[in-house]
Amino acid sequence: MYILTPFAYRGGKMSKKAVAVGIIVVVIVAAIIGGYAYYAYEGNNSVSNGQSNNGKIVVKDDEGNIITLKKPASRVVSLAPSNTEILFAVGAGNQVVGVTQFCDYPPIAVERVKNGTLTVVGGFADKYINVEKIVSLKPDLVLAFGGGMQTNTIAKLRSLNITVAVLNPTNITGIYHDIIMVGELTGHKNKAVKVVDSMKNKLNEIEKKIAGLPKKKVFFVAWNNPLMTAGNHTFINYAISLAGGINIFGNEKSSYPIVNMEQVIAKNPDVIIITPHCQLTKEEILSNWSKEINAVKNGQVYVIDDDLLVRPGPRIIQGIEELAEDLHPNAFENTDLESAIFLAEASA
Amino acid sequence: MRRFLFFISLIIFTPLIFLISLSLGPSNYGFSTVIAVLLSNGTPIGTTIIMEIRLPRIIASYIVGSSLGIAGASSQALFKNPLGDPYLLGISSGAAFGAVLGFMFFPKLIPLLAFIFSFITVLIVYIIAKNVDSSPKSLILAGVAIGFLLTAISQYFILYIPHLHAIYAWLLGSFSTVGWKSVYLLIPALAISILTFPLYKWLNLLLLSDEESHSLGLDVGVARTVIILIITILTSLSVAVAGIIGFVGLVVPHISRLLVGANHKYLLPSSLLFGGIFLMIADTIARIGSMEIPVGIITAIMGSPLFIYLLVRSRVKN
Repeated sequence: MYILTPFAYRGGKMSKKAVAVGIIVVVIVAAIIGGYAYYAYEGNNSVSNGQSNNGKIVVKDDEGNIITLKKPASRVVSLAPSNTEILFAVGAGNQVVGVTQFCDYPPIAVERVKNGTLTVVGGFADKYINVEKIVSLKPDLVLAFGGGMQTNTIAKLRSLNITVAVLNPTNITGIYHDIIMVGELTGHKNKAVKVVDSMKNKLNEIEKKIAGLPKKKVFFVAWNNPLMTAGNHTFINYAISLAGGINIFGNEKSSYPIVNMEQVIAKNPDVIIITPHCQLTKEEILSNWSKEINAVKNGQVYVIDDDLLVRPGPRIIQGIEELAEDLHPNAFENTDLESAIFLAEASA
Repeated sequence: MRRFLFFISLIIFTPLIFLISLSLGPSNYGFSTVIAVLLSNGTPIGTTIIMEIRLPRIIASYIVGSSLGIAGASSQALFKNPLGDPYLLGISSGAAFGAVLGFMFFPKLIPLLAFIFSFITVLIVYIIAKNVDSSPKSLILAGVAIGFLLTAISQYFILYIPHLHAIYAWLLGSFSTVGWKSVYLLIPALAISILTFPLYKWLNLLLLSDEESHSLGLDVGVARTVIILIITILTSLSVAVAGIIGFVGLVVPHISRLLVGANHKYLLPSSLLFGGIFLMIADTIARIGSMEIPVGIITAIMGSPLFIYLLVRSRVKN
């Protein structure tokens, strides 16, 4: 009732009028909250009932928006490399009409940008995205990326009555969910389910192989000068843990914290993971970094294409597998042997 | 007397702060490790952390701080302006431009390109000013104009750099990867800083009008060129090693001036000593947390309140 005191007290006495106003306000507020809660509950229900209502496609995206399409989208604009990879993986590649300048996978996407059948609509963040170009492509679906980098673009497109679904997976389940969602929106649900199933199988295989093995301490180098790594809220951190490792800077709240060589030495990683773009090579690390670091002493420095680890798309499994092989080579020896035998037999 | 006390306390405090800084870090290697390492019976890992990581970094931050202090004091005399800063000559925007080019094409050469482009930028600014009237005013205006142009071009290129995190960290300055190599690179800067002390008469005279200083026997043109060269070398070397660290060049000479007076005979040595300590403390704060903070953020946060306090106090006294 504290909020109501200004109305309620006039000259020290509570007037009946003020009490009445107070009650009305409370009732209205309660009605609004209740109505909203009911609406939200209803919204959740209608979506979980299934994606198809009288032939309509209804899904809920990663920001809780209900996306409704009358028919599968035939002209799709992707605003993130991971979205593009998902679209092509579920077999909707031919429906894609616009991508970002960073969408460099699969190769057919790059080829189509070169021959002009796929349009680049700009960069990744709001100020680099060309909304006019997106509109001119007349898309019936735009797949944006969440997390705040594209908020203004999303609002602008929605105000122009363009359907926007926002993808923002935070873990592997989220990626599975998004692949299925993109499959539903583009009319390729069966293929999407297959993609997810094969990802799940592969991950199971990896988990079986590394089950019970001791966790390795991992230092991931995102950049050399200043020395940067990946912190808590990154897919790299998550992939390292799935691959049977512990990110030595996994508790850092910043996504890409600058760190200090002193901590690297003190935390003493067993394995160092570098990327092709981090401006450091294995040779440089082995010859310049302190031998007090186990990874340096034992030559445990590996290169992984960071696109496999930072993009929340189907290839994340490949990244996890490569990581797991680097962290636990013994667990994967047999596989290499098996596949070598298989290849030898196949070619004979 | 106050001047004397200030110098004595700087000379006493420098080794003290140095030792404290050496025993502070994000890992658990403290004062006892430092003592053990100095008595050469430390553990291998402790020795590596103290001798290979902390020591070169502390020395580098000290030299960069003192270089920026000297460059700042010289800039304020050169520009006859209390807002004088070594970066006014366009050095920071030139360095940033070089670094951006480095990030795009030759990431190994970022320090070298930053150094080269800050030099080229000052040269262009100098030539433009010379074609006007060589006055401090035209130097400042040319520096600002070229600075804006280069910053705009850098910003355009930054649109195409995927490693935005890295370039922003560089632009704010950081000693995070500094080792002994950087210290060797900085030794000329320390030497030049000390060699500036005998030039204090020039700097005192440059504060007067051109006619006055000329009548007192100073070749203004030569003096100005030499001072610009000193500022450029000191600042470019600092920028090459640690990126663009703001505020030190502006605030350190002012604080020194409030404590020892405006005569450059005292101002230069105190800017060197105080600049060194200032950046050494700032970088210690930058590196002791679990995550590094770009040191430029610390210098601004530390410097502004200290500066305002001294400013207000000096006003009250007068």
